[in-house]
Amino acid sequence: MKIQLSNWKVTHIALSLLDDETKRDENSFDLEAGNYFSEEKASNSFGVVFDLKISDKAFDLSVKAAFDFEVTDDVITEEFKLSAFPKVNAPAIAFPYLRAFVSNLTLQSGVAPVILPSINFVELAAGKA
Amino acid sequence: MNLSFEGHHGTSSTSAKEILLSNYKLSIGHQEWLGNGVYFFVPGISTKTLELAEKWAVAQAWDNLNKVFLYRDYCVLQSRIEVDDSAFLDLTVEDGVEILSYLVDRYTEKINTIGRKMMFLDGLLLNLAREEGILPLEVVKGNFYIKFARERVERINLRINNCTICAVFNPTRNITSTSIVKTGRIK
Repeated sequence: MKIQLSNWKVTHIALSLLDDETKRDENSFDLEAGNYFSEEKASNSFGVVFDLKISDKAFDLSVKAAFDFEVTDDVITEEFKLSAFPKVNAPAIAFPYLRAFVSNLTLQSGVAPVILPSINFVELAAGKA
Repeated sequence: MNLSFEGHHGTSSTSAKEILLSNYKLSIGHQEWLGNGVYFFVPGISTKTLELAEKWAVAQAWDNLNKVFLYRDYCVLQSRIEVDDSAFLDLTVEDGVEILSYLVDRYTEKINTIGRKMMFLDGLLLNLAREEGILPLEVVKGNFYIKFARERVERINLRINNCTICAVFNPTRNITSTSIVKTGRIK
């Protein structure tokens, strides 16, 4: 089965600077990934949604993004929806776009640029990350 | 089948697999909102039924007694529900509430005879009506206030209904298609 990224968009951004009283000592981030599927029966498209929350020392950044994928050589079955393709393969393809977006956004916003680490989506899907 | 509408059901990925393989299993008991049945969020006082089903799947994952998640991976299933007008009870409209009032009158004495400790619940009345063949109830719809994760954590107890749900008593007959429309993982 082959999947291909067809489109993506940022659906939500919120950036707020912390003041001297609320600044933190450590940086951290939290990433949640999910999937959505077409309601049409013989559809070959599905999506990955990311909900990213960055707690930087000096700011909070929340980004939500939706990535549309197509299965190029088959239709989507219920087995496919629960398989590794939407949970692991598709997020692995999509995540670099999100990471680049966050780096550019923070760089252009005058705050310390954020370079997110690589994510092991196999472990994330298994609950180990 | 006169009526046809979509409903969303939130559950664990494991249960979703079983549902896709061998159909839904009924929630059984008088404590259930509308009696025995498979429950769906349906359009009514809220149109965001997929979102409600997702919130339900997340809320139900938490076992508050043992302070553990029962599951992390969840699914939202979308099903098409079809039912004859004559077997559909809509408790969101006056006619439906009139029927429920009739059931209250009919079963008051019986319930009191069974025992005063028995809770006089909507689910009990609907189960009795179905079991005794008083009404051919296959699908029942009503508005309820349902507590999701936030409402449970912050102990928000409103009296205003926040969703419309329906109970399907015979999924083999009344559910004509089911598919996964969303998956997610609780961190």
